[in-house]
Amino acid sequence: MNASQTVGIVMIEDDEGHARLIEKNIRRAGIHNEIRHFADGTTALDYLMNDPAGPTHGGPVLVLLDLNLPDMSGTSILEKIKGNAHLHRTPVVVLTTTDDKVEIQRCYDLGCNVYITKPVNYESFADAIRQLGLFLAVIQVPEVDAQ
Amino acid sequence: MPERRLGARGLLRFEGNRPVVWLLALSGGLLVIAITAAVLALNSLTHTSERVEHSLRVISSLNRLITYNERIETARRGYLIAPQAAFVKTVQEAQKDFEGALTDVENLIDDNPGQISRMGQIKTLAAQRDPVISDTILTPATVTASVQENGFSSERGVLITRAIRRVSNQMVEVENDLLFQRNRAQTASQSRFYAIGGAATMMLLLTLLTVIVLVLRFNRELTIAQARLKRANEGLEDAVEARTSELTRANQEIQRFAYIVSHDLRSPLVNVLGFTSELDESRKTIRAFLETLFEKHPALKNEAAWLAADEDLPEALDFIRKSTEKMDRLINSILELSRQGRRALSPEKLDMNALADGVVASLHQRAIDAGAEVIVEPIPSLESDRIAVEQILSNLVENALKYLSPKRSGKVTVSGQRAGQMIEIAVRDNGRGIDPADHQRVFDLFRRAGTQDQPGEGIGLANVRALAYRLGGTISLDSKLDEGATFTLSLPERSIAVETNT
Repeated sequence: MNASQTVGIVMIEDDEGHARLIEKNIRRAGIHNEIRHFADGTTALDYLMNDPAGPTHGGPVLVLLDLNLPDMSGTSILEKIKGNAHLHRTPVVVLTTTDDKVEIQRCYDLGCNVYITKPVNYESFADAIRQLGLFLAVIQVPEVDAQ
Repeated sequence: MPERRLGARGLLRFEGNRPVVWLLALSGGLLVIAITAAVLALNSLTHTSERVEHSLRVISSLNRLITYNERIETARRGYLIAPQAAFVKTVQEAQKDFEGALTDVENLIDDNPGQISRMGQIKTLAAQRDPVISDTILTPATVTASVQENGFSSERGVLITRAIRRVSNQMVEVENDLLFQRNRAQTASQSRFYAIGGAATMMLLLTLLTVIVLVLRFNRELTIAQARLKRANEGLEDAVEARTSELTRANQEIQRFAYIVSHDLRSPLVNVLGFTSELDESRKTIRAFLETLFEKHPALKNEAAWLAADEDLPEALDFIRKSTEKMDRLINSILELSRQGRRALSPEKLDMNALADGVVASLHQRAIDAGAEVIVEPIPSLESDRIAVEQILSNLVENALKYLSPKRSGKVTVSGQRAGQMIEIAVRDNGRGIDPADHQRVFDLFRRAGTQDQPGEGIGLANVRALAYRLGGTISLDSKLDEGATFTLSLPERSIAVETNT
């Protein structure tokens, strides 16, 4: 539990509604880690790479990533995270509406750790997020290499 | 359209071919005329030549006649001057020869009445001379005395001889006239022969020359047209290729569009459903609160507030959720169709009997639930995409099981037959059937027919049709209301690439 207490959650999700629902359900699962929400890829990447409070300079994080973003595709964000010397061990959970086989394969090829399809049915959605919350509660995140 | 113009030109050229045919026919006719004319002219020439020859023979015979006539007279006179046996012999020989010549002439001139009558005169005269000659030979002295007394010019034999000479000379003249005429006729028919033959030959050469020129020109035009056609064909191929790649691009565009739209439509639905549930949760909290509040403080009880929390709100939320869920199903269906369209086909040799058995086995539970029997008859094997064919068959059999008639126990038959280059696979049922008015409709996306007592979105047959088209086949329906339905899938025996999709 110690590790999970310190792990920050970075949620990259362009839809405010989805972000809210995800947050609500994570909280309902009893996870109280800090959740930082970014609505576009650029600011999210900026936070991850350059922000003094961000993972590159600060503590470990877990990334919740949506694939359909307005300014860039989620896969290119994934590629950048996994290609970054400091961030490549950061767990990335892809949480998106796309359940296309090719897309799923591509994400795992790029090094995504978990791929979850957002169910439209809310019960399933809430269930999935809550289980993700339980998962977040037990997951061990590696320390980011100090610069 | 270049091919159109070429077609019209080809037609013109075909018509231009006609003069050649006419000219060839004309030259054939001319050849017949020339040969006929030549034969006729030759005939007439032979005939006139014969006439000329005949005349010459007549003249020659007449000349002999004249000669013998003179010889008879000369020998007779010699005898009168010197009565020797040699003269008698000469007279007798000449008389015999004269008779011979007479017979010859008579035979030759039997077609000419004028000459025959003259011949008659000569014969009469010759007959009159015979006794005179006999007298001369028997009594030369008496005859000599008479000549001495009256002179030769009034002697009877001399007179007869002169008469014969005169008549035969007349005959020679007549024959000479005839000969002249016949010679002229011969010349005329010769000229006619040359004229007709020459003219026909000239015209023949002329027509043949024209034919040769026309054929050469026709050939040249043909070569030019062929070259043009070849060019047009090449252009056409390029055009087809360009159009095909355009269509493929457009098709891919549509597929991508459908895919993106489906995803972007789904995203808001998550919110609608999510917050609807959240709203319901909040409502439940409020309702529970109101319940306890009204129980504890009945004076505060507000019927309207209670109704809103207990009935109106849940009803509204339920409608929102149901509609949204339906929308989600529709979007998923579009997504599924779009995914089917994007999948690359991989044709392989399919044992259709095994494939159909597999499909039926996977629907075994459905058949049992529906109380129906599914029979698979032999189907010829074919080359196609396995997944697509399985999906089509599965959809059709599932539909057949879904829309059975409650009036009779269900029976579904899958059968196949060869139809030329195509294999026809029929799925026949004895179910409720489809009104002929709806036969087109049922293949449209989100459209269904008949009583809506079964779940479904109207996707299956649209998918079946789209897949059949992609495989280069067709799907058709034969059915009447309440008389079962037969869906016939017609697929090429050998796979043909309908599109080049990646």
